[in-house]
Amino acid sequence: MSGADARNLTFTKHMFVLPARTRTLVAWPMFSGCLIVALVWLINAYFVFRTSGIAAPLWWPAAAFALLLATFQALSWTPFAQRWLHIVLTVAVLTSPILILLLVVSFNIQLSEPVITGLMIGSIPIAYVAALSGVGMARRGDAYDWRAWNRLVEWLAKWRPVATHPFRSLSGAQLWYEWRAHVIVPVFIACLLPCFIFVPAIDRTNVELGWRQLGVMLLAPLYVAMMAGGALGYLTDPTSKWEAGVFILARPISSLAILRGKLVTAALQTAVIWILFLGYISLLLTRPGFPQSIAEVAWSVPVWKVIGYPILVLALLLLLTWKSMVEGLWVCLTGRKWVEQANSFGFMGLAIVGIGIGLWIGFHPELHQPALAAVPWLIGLLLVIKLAAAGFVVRGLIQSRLTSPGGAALMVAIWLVVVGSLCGLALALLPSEFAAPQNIIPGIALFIPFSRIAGAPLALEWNRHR
Amino acid sequence: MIASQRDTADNVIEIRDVTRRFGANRALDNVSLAVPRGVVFGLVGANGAGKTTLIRHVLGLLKAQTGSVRVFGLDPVNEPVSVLSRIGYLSEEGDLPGWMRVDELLRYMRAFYPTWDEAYAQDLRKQFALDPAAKVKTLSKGQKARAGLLVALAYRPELLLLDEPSSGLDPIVRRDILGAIVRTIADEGRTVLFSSHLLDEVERISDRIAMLKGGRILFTGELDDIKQTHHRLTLRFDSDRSQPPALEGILSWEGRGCEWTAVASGRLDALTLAASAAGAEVVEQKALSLDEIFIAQVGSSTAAVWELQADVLSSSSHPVANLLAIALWLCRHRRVLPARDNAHPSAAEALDNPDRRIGCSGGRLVLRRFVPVGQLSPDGSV
Repeated sequence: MSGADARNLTFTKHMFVLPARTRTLVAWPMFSGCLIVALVWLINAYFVFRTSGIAAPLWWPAAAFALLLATFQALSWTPFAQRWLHIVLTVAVLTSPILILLLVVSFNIQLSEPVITGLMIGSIPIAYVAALSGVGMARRGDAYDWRAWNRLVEWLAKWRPVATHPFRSLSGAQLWYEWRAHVIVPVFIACLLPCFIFVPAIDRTNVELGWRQLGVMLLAPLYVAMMAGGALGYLTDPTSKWEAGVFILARPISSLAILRGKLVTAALQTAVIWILFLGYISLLLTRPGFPQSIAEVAWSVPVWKVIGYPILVLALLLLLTWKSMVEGLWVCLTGRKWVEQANSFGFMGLAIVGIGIGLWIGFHPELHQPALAAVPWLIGLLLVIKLAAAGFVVRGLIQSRLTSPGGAALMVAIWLVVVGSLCGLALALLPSEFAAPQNIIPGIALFIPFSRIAGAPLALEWNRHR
Repeated sequence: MIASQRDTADNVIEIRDVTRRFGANRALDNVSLAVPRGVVFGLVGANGAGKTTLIRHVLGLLKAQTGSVRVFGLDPVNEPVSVLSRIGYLSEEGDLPGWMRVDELLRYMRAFYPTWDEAYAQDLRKQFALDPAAKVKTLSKGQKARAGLLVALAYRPELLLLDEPSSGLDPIVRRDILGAIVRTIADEGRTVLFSSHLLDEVERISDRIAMLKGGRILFTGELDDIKQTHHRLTLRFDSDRSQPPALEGILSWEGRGCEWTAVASGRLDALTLAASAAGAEVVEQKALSLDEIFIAQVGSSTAAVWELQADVLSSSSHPVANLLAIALWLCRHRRVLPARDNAHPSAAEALDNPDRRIGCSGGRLVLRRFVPVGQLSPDGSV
């Protein structure tokens, strides 16, 4: 096993030199981990759910959590020469409970709780043996190596020409770098989607379920993009160490050019993600009655809507996917872990507070009217904050000579055009009861980011010159 | 030493009064430094002395909190592209992307530098035996260092910055790195600034050096001048002495009886005069290597604290403390522990005086203040 492979292990490597048998090294963390997750569930189920009147099952979920943890430990402690194989196996194993559940439901298999619990607890030793084998291999510096794959890669490498011709421009080189450094995202999605290939086959004759699945599948790339955007913000590939960004920062390239490479890469990744997802979504057409249902809807509306709406929806989804990918770039570009953590915890805190306030208002009907009256003020406040942030960012860009006043004006103009176009489309196409201008215009203005994208070069400068 | 090819008086790097803090830690403390064009400039200092921090200021990766940094007359923070396009940089960490193949690395780097010399790059690649199809992550540490050196040299930068380039590398790779420095300065007007712990290398190829300690520059100048102002003197006294005298410029003492050897900094004639005044005759004088100068300049205060701890421990009644005291005593008589030996008797007594200690328990000693030898007056007062 090379050093690179050893780095992937999550097992604490200094424990390999302890005077202890491998089975001891494996057994203790696995046993204590399983015990803790099982106890956490039992305490929650008994003292939280059951006291709240929810008849939560006790034993089989506890056993399921313990089995899941043991399986995950076995996988993460096992060294693989091919890292992607590690990822694929982990995804396959972690999605297998869904498949098993579907099989149980599909074939109407009736099992009592003690039997399910027994089966799960009985499977933990299998995970232990797998972990023992993996840690044993890692301890003697070995790894599971798919030799046939290596031969294939070597064979392909022979045919791959040596890269001698120069890039046409610095931008081209940077785009190539960003694409290659973050190619793991589309590869990961391409590996992940086959694990969900069974979803379109669920309850195949249920047309309504098909429409729901279509909705979920169309929104899924947005979530994927948010994750991918986090990785794209790093200056190196996601697996490199944090300090490795010096490789880029010590190059004679402007922060704006680095960011441009990231924005274009995000656009390319958006296209690839959607090609993969459209291929996956097309599986819905295999559901009996679903193509007919689509045709019925198409016949019931004017031809221009049949052609225009799907194009418009797809264009908006592409834009939203790209937006999801790039609006969080600034966080990682600061190069500071504390900013990332503050951002994550800040959003979580805001979400929790927001949900709490929402629920509180929901349970108190006397507050509904004042809350509705406060909404315009709240939107106004948010718009003022957005405007102030935009002003701060524009001033920072000009002061740090990242752009000229003309360049800043162009950025603002682009934002206005995008917001104006979306407002126009929304007012023209949405039913009037949902599309009051006083709702649509502030909503879209708040939704389309300015400071988060325009401020990204400032974040990078802050990282670059500490 | 390789002769410098200085033909102009202008400085490639000018650092003025730069201070840098990381939290409570002061990494650079009012540092001023000038690196003339066409020289090989060595930065030496212990770990944490501030060498990498200084180099990162030159690259513009750190912004001076006070003072100014100019490289080619430009501010590397305000004009990074102009400055970085003229600098070749090799870091100790080997921060090349692991997923790149060697040929891809060369192709990518070529895009950044209009002066990239492809023939030279391929020549270096062959010389360093780097397989173009090999991924960087599969290269050994030495090969990674060679790959980093290749991409730092292939565009013939005006300034080559090497941050601990030889750290942890075998002699063959170190030879390649030294060869690269030689090649770089072979071109007229090109400059090398490098930091290293391997002082024999620094001594072999540097024209000028700066020695850093605790974020401050202890001294900087021509290597020859520095070597000419550091000496190992063997002094013979008329009678046996339990302690050596306090002489200005003495960095460390070693010896017993009537013959003592001192490492000293200063003009030889002044040192000889001072020795005569103290009743000693200089019986032998030797030039010091940079390694010896470094140890004498940087290592003294650490050794002194050890010595004092040994004294405190030896007064303890705890058996473990006594064992440690014996071990430290043995160390003292096998190695040079300069500060105690070097201290004036009255100063040594003052340091051992319990009144000057803040606390002494469990083998830990905290002094109200520590006084290096150089700050003692001839009568031992502070």
